[in-house]
Amino acid sequence: MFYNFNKIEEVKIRLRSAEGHICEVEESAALMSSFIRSMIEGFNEVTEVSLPNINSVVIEKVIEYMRHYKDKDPPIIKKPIISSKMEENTSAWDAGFIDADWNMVVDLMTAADYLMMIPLRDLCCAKMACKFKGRSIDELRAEYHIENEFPSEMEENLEFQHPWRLE
Amino acid sequence: MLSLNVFQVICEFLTYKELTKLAQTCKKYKKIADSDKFWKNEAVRLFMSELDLYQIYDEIAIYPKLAKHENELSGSQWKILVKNQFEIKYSWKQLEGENLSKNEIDELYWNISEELKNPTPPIPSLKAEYFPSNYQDLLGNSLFLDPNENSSHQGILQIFNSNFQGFCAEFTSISHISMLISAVYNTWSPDFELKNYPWIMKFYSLLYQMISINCKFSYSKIVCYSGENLLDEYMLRWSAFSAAMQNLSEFLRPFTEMVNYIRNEKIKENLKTKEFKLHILMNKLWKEEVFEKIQAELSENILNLWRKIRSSDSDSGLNLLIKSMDCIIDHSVDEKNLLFKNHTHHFTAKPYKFIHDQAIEKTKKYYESLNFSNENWRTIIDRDIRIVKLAFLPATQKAIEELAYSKIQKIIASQISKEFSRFSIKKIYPYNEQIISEYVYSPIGLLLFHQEKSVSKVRSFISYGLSKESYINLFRIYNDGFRTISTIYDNQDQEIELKAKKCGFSSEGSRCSPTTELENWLLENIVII
Repeated sequence: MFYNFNKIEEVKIRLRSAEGHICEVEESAALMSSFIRSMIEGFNEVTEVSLPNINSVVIEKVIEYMRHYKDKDPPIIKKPIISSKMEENTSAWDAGFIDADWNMVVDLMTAADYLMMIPLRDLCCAKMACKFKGRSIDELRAEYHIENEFPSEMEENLEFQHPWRLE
Repeated sequence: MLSLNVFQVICEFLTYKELTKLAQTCKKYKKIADSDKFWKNEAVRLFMSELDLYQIYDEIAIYPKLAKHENELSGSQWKILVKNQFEIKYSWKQLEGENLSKNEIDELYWNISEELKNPTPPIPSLKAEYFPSNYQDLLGNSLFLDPNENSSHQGILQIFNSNFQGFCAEFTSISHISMLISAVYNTWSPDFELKNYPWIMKFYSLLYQMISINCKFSYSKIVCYSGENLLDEYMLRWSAFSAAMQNLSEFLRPFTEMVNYIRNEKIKENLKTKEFKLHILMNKLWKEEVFEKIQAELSENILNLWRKIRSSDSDSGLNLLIKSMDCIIDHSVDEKNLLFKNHTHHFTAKPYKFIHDQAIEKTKKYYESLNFSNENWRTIIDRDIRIVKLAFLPATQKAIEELAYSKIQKIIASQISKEFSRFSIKKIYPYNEQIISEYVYSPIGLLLFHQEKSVSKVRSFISYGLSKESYINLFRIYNDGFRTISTIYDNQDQEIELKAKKCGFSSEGSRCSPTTELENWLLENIVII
């Protein structure tokens, strides 16, 4: 008698979002998260993990990343980044995956941090760093609604402290 | 606004310029962007590079490689170091002018900074003498260098060769001359105010500061570690620096020749000073900026490592001990005492002397603490002496071997005395009479006579002992131990003295023609600006 191993279904882990929705992911993919891995290894019978800080849209996005890198290592992003364009810093798939609005990137980054997925966290941080790269101080202040707290003399002093400004 | 944790990770993906800009947007970001961690990463990336010395200097690598963990507090100010390095880079522009164009200056800066940042292993070449490290090789073989041999790196530095007269003419005042003398003596600490200096002194000044800041970077990196990791990092950084020392000495030979040419032209024959050598200056800066600051910690870690190897059965860590001791020896030798480093009486240079004294003190205690009642005492002492011979200089080897033999003699004396007291005369065992007499009138015979004044019993015991192989060995070790040690080391010392004499060095480790008084007088009277 021969068994068809392909037909044996892989164990699935149920991720419960902040809204209470359940998103399912294969165990082998979910193990990318050190947080989920420690839950599974710590309690043998665990098949559901509650993630009260992460909404279902973000969880779906995380699952997409987990499934893509289930069988391979994510590329390492060089520090510091070389360009403000993500496709020049990482693979095309990663660049496309992270091509989202600012709030989504921040949420994804928070989720990656919580789930202890360092490659995904680094991808989000690199994306944020791209948004800072090549911007002037005034542009940065305007875009991120940062109030100038430095008196003008201090600002001049800060300039003077940085000899590399001459480069 | 982003949380601090998130912002910290983002900063890791930015360069120092972007970080600086972010820091200027608000106080919160300034605080994070000023943190030592970012500046350390940037400093290493820009000016040190994470030298993969394990690959570059394969032969010196420690196997297995240490998995090094950095301490959290590095205890240095990386941002200030990066800032200083940039200031030097911009000051370099002051060298532009009649002698060198902007491109030439940039090329010169790039060559020197790259060599300091990522030194290439020196190319092996035929040498008059073999020395175990780059630095000793540089010191030792400079004694045999042919001054007429041309530098292999001419290129841009041809400028020095073609402008001897012009450079020399810039030394117009007594302050310029005294500046030059103090530079030759390595007692001049230049600053960034280069305006009134002759061109050669401006170049010297910037070179000095580049080397000095490179040493400060190395120090900051080394103190990130502790224990054996610190020894490993120190050994690697020093190897890299001494390789840079060797390469830059060769690359900048036209410059050192220029300095020495001006010294010859401007200083009267009767006030002649010693020659300027770049490797001497570089070594002085390393000692000041790195070695002297962590000397105590290095010595302590070396002694701890030695103690660990001694008390274990494996040789794990021995390679690191040997290489670390090579560093200490490098910092103890100079042009005058190098040839005497293997002499058992005439090598008393300080950093090594401290370890030597400590080693002897600790060995005394170690041998006292050992239990020699079992049969393994010979194996333990043999292994101990083997380690000492690999890691330490002959002066320490001799002293420790003497301690070991003194201990061995005591053990043998106690074993034989015990046997002798139980021994009763039965007969003279068949053995050559002359050999028995030789042993009776030797230290072992004396030991037995002291115990019991009976010639016939002593003769009988010795003849009995000579008929048993285990006793013959004990008799020989007891009689010959010290004699053998002295003979080996005395012969070695005589050879060193003879060789040194041929090179013009006296047994006190100084040149036969003394210039010390003149040098001291110059230092006290002229060079203080």
